[in-house]
Amino acid sequence: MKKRFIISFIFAIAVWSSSFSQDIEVPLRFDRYYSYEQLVEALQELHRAFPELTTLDIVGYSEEQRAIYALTISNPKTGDHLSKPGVYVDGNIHGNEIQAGEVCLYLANRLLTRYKENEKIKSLVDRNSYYIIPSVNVDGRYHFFEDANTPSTNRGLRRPKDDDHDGLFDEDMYDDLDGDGNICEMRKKDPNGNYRTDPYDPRLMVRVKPGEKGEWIRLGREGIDNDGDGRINEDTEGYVDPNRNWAYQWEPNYIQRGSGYYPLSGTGTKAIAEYLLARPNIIMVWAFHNTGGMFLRGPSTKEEGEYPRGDLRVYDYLGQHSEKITPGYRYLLVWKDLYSTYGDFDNFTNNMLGSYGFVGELFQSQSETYSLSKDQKKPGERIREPGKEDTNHQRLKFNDHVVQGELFKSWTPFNHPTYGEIEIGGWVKMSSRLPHPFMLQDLVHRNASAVLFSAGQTPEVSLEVFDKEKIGKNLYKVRIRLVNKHAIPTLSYMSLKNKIHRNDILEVSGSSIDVVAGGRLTDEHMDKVIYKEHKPQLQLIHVPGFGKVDFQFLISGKGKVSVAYSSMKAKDQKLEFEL
Amino acid sequence: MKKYLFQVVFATALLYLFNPEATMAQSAGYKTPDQVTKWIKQVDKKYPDVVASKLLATTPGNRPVYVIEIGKEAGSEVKSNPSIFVGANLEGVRPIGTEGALFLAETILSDPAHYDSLNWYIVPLGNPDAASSYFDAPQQENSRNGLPVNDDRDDQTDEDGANDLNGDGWITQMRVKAPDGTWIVSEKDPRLLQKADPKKGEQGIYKLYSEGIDDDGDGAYNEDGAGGTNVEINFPHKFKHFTSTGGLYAGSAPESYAIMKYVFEHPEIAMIVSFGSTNFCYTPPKGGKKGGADLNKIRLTARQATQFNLDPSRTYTITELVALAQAENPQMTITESMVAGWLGLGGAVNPQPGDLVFYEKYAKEYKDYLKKKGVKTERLDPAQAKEGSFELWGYFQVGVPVFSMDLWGIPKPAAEKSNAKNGEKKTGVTKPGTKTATDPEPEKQKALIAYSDSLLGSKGFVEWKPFDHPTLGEVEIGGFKPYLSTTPPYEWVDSLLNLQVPWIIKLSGELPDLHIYEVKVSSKSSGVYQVEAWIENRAFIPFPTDMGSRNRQPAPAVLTLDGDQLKFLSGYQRTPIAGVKGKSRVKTTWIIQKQKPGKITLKLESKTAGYDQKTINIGG
Repeated sequence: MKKRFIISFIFAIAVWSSSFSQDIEVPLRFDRYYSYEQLVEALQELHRAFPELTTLDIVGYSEEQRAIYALTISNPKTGDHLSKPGVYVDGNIHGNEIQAGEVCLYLANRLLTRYKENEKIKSLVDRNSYYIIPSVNVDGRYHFFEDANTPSTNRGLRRPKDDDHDGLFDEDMYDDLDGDGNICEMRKKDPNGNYRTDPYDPRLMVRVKPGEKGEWIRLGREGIDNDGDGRINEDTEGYVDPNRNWAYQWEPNYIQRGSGYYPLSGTGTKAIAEYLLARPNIIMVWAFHNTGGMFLRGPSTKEEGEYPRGDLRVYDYLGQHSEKITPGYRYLLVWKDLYSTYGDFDNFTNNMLGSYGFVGELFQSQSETYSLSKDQKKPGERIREPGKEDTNHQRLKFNDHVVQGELFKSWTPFNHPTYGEIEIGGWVKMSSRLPHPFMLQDLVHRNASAVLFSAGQTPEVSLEVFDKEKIGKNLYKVRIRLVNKHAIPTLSYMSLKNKIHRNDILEVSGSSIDVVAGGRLTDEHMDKVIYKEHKPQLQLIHVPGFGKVDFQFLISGKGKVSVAYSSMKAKDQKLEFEL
Repeated sequence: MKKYLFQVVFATALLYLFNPEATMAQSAGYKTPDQVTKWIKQVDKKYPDVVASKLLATTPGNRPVYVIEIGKEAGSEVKSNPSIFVGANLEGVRPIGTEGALFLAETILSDPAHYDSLNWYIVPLGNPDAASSYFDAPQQENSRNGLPVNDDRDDQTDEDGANDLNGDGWITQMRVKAPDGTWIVSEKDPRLLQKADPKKGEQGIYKLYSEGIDDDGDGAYNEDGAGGTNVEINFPHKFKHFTSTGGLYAGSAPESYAIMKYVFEHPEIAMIVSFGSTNFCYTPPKGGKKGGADLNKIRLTARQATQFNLDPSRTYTITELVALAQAENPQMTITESMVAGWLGLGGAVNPQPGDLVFYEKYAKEYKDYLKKKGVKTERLDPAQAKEGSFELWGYFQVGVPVFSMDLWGIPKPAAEKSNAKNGEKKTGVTKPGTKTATDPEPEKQKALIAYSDSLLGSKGFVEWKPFDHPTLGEVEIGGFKPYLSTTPPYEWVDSLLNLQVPWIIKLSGELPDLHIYEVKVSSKSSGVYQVEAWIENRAFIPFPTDMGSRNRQPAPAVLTLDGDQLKFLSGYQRTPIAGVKGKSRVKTTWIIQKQKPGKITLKLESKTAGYDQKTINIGG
């Protein structure tokens, strides 16, 4: 019986991870998960199918020398990729959070395969550049597929760390005692234990109340005391959390667990940081994780203070739309609604790159329902009342009747070298944080749509001369207007505050003209201008979202006048007129 | 220039003829980055068995940063001896730091006892791009590496640096009479300026600029000079983002990144030495900073309180919270730092009180040592370590003792000794890239002018002279010469280093030193024994430092008990020893079962604090 179970289980996992590996072709399928190798193959196929719209780069290599790929989608006919607003999307920075990689693949697949047929997608491709890194933590992804895991292990980088401070590194890992490819839970019958069988579903346990008789003790995750120090699984792989290793407000490990020895100590995080900083056109950043169903914005700690109001307007606009695109997901502020983090990725890009960033926490385990009730609990709510059907009971029924038992391993006896007769069972590796493949399509499409909505809001600036008046001999008053019809400004207000990025530049030039004065026109009717004292022909500016900015120049001379707008993040514009 | 080079080569050749040790002796002046590289190559060649130099990084200005490994394990991948890491002149404005590092290398190599059981890793020049400015004409004090930075965020990069308008070879200052001037001539010395104090009825007369023109015509002077990042302050302890010279993020400079990488790849590093602007041998790292959370009065946010099922209206001690978290997570070992991390309490901002004990002891001994050597002149207090500095990173994040030396300090002016006591804080020298000069600390100015007058024949100061400036009109150019406050005349270097550097050798003998002090075995019943081992730290410096205990960064020592057919009834074969305070002992106890009489061996291993072993016969 036991053997049969294991065999059928291994088979189930094998079907998930490799059944389609022979035929990865474009358009890609999203009723499956892609292992690291398959993901690379999928990217190569996309690049092969759309060579004119894509570039496939190796950004760098992981600790175990796996290549980290970036797919760039940009139409060279509409300009060099650096000349257009950049949208950066990555996923799977935590090795176990694999479906983030599928969101990235889906986004690329969608942009490319619908380019010809869908006008809206065509324009999104033509006016932006997309930089997509589906798997940041490639070692984690590899080991999550290949090794026995819990739903949460293999999250970090493959950088050995002495977690238990005994002078040895990663010497007491989890052990797949029953060889089924999962690290499940261990429990032992014990009349003095503090758990008893859940009366509602015997596969679950509930804490005993004072006076009740115990039945089980929980012994933690599957494993043995590999290093003979009297503890089990206390020094597993890593732990450097690649999402605490970034170099903005980085803090050492004793303040921020998992930060690594120093900022960007990970070979991959360092390579990606350099890749990003070499693309100053990036203005929108998405990083996908699991789990919880959230769109998180910074700041990451309370002490940073709130973002400038101008930026909050952008975040609220994009966040509230994203919530509607993916019903059930919530738009939240990370330090306040979750917890403080130092050295995370989005805070790095927001501050160092001057971009707007969201963390997309994919998947809600509550979506695995087996219930008639329409009024589900609020997302994130975790009230567990024994004896009453709650999320876990519903999830088990979902497991039984909707996915035919693929998510939960029934308790099975095992003879443990230390604990003796125990039972091993519980939620398996591909459960809890990952949607079953049949639900994947909906998840990847909606989240990719949230990305595309924001990509549609990257700045697009138009330039016009809206007034020209001769006010003296060879002297003209010229008014120039820059309009941004999208939500995202050409420089974030955070960037303006930090003062580290080049301003946008508006320059008026001509071979036989002289710019006598020039500055921002704050009231066109009252003729109020803030003139710039020095170098009036060169204005350092930015253009707000859903807004405009006007300039007035007094120009003497004649002939052709060129007006050039140049921006790090938005597309440059030019116009000419005659005096 | 050619003539100068010839002299250098000739002098070196002569010295070499008469004294083979002297290949490394100083040439006619402070060494250029190229000469430092050459020096390293020569030493590497001369001592193939005990010296190995490695290229750590290439700077944005395309210069190499080397580390010189000295010791019996130099160049080998795995090291078993404790080691000392030395970083010098990371600010680039202290050529004497580089000379000190090379002198230290020579001193070490002069006596095998210095490297017998100790490795030295020396980076003599951590910021060669900036250091090269010392040899530039005109000379401008500069701590920024060669990374182009668009300081004024306009259409050009590095387009408006300082200019040597009067052609005297130095970038000094310009003072201009202006309606909005805030400076007046000092009543103490007409050469000096001081901020006008309206409370005293003073009204400003001058505006102060660094010497130069408005190259890009934007109305600002010298606001976008060449470079770059000051490597010294590009480290992650309390790193400050968005400063003019600190770099984009901690480790953004290849030089500092490579140093961090190297140090963490060498867990045997037991001490860090810095030759820069600070002097922890003289003034221990400063405490008293606000911002460290009070771990005895922690208040939780409403959300945290809900999350951990605690009360947001009261305060908790860290010990309470650790106990509560431990009860909730029996699988994990909960530490204070984990809880502090979850709650976002922040890190240590002040040196741990226990560590100040050894800092103060050695500061006193160092001052006694100087007295004994006949040093009579008092000096201004050395600069305090800056946020994001190499020194503070070493102490707070690597968790090892850090000793720094500035090797030379500005002499205290004879008359006003009592006042000058507080004289430190900011450096008063105009930094490139700053729009106008910062308020030069008046005491330091006075000390500098006195120093220039009494010891340099007033040559440290350029007298104010009128100049017709293209946009500012009538200005006066003058002020302190660059490097006056950081760099003594080269002729003094030899005696300064002979005085100062041996102190580092002395400190290298003070590293934590662990031994098995005593092993007691008592028989409990037939074949059952209690083994009790005392481990002692013979040094005064604790293993690890208190900061190292707090950040859990230094590797533990490990005690291993071995023997034939040994069964552990209590305790484990490997026992990590987390710490042993200075001049103290800690005990470890086992109960073992051993049926046949025989030997048991106790082994003590530490990457930084030594190795010891004892074998005992039991049951026989």
